[in-house]
Amino acid sequence: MPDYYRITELGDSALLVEFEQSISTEINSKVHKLDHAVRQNAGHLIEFTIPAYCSLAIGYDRGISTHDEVRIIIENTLQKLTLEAAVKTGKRYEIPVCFDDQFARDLERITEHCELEWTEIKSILCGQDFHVFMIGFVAGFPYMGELPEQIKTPRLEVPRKDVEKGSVAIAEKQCGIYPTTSPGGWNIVGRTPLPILSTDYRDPFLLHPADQVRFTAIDMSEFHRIDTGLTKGKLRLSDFYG
Amino acid sequence: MAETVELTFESSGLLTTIQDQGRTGYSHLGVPSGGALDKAAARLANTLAGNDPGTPVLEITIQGPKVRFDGGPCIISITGADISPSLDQIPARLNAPLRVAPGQLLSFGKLRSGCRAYVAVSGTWQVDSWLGSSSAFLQDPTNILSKQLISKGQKLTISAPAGKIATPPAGISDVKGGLKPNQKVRVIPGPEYHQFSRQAIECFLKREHIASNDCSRMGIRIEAPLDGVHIEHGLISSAVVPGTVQVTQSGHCVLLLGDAQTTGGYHRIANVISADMDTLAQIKPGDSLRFDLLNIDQIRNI
Repeated sequence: MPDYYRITELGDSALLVEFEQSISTEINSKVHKLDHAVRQNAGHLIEFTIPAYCSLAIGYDRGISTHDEVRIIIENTLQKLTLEAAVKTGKRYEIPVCFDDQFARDLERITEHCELEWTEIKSILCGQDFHVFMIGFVAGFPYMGELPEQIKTPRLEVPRKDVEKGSVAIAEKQCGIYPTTSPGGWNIVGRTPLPILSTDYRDPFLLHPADQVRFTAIDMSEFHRIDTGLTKGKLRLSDFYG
Repeated sequence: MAETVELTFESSGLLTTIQDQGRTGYSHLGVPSGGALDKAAARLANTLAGNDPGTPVLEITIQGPKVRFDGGPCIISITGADISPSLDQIPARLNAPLRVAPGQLLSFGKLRSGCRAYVAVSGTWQVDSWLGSSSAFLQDPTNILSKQLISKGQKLTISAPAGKIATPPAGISDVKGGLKPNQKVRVIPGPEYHQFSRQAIECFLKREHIASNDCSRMGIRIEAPLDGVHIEHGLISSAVVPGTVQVTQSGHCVLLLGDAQTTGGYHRIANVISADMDTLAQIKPGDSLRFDLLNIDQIRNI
């Protein structure tokens, strides 16, 4: 499958597979296909994986396997992927986002930088599916993309100490959702009332690598209706996603 | 009916947390593996107290808490760093099962070796868990583990404390946390090792490095930058694991520990081998360390 790959050690109990080092959904889908296939072929040896934009770390139990053995499994899996072209696609989620200026703390910065009206920026953000490249930074934070060139915006020069939970933000050609209140340096465009990380559910994480996300604009009253409904237990995440 | 032991923290110490062997298998979702940083010390403490090795323990950092034991009698043991522990002002042995009577006070004094001590208490810990582990997670996204970071006045309940006492293995009483004289931290080359200049590699391998004050459960930052580091661009975010040695654009090395992020954009010069991770956990600000470079085939049986 891959035109180029490199396998190196990431410590004595993980191997790192790197593809061409650039950010694209095409290369990232190779990462997720390999992740899926390796877990299927050798799940009993694998302790963890860390998929990223164009690399995959595979952690193994060195009590029952060796780097040579795992390297062969990876190479064989890569060869098979060429023939089978196995497809691993995630789920698709529509996520309601309120773009009201009460939440969009960086509205001015973005409109000035992009020289566009806020309504245009909103419709661009809601006009395409975004691909979850990876989860990182903090537990449950999805790195998604790619944003069209017109709304590409640099990170804040000084990161904020307190980005509110649920904040939807953009940086360069990426967008993300803060699963919890945390520091952050991305430009905030709005907020979702949905918990993308919650211990109330069996799987605490709404989004996984390789999922697709479409933002849908909601107004402030709808934001509060959903937010209050979830807090009071009248609404559940399953009301949105089955 | 099983008796219970209640621990009351009259003071919290510098950083006292509840830890077990960690939560592996969620790093694809950005969740660090965490757990006791000196895992062998935590397992030993539990074994001595008659517990399963994976039972939670207290991880105590540099400066210890004051803990009062009420309820039934119990067995405790203290391993890892030597922070001069005492029970009712009488020095307590390390690496040995200790009987604690109701009303006794466990306290700590001067740090004599290492950085992190572990206290096991016999019985079943009544603590919350998340993703299969009750380890504190200091970037806790869910807030359900907030009690795992010990604060002054907090109480902790442990049920069925009547554990069987294990006989300490021979020689174990001499085991103390921290680097032995002339001990080096063993590393293997990291993914970007070959991108560093010869000067940077020499500096990394030959210099005596000092741990800076910027040390936490996420990592240890080395005081002085490496010479000859010419990194113009960061990497596209890629995996890191506990033990990864990152080098920032300014040439500073950061040794990642159990609570580190799962991805990063800095060049990875090396990775500390698994067998030396417990040693790394016992390095405190101001300690010096040297690295010894091996290749993966040399450490097969370590």
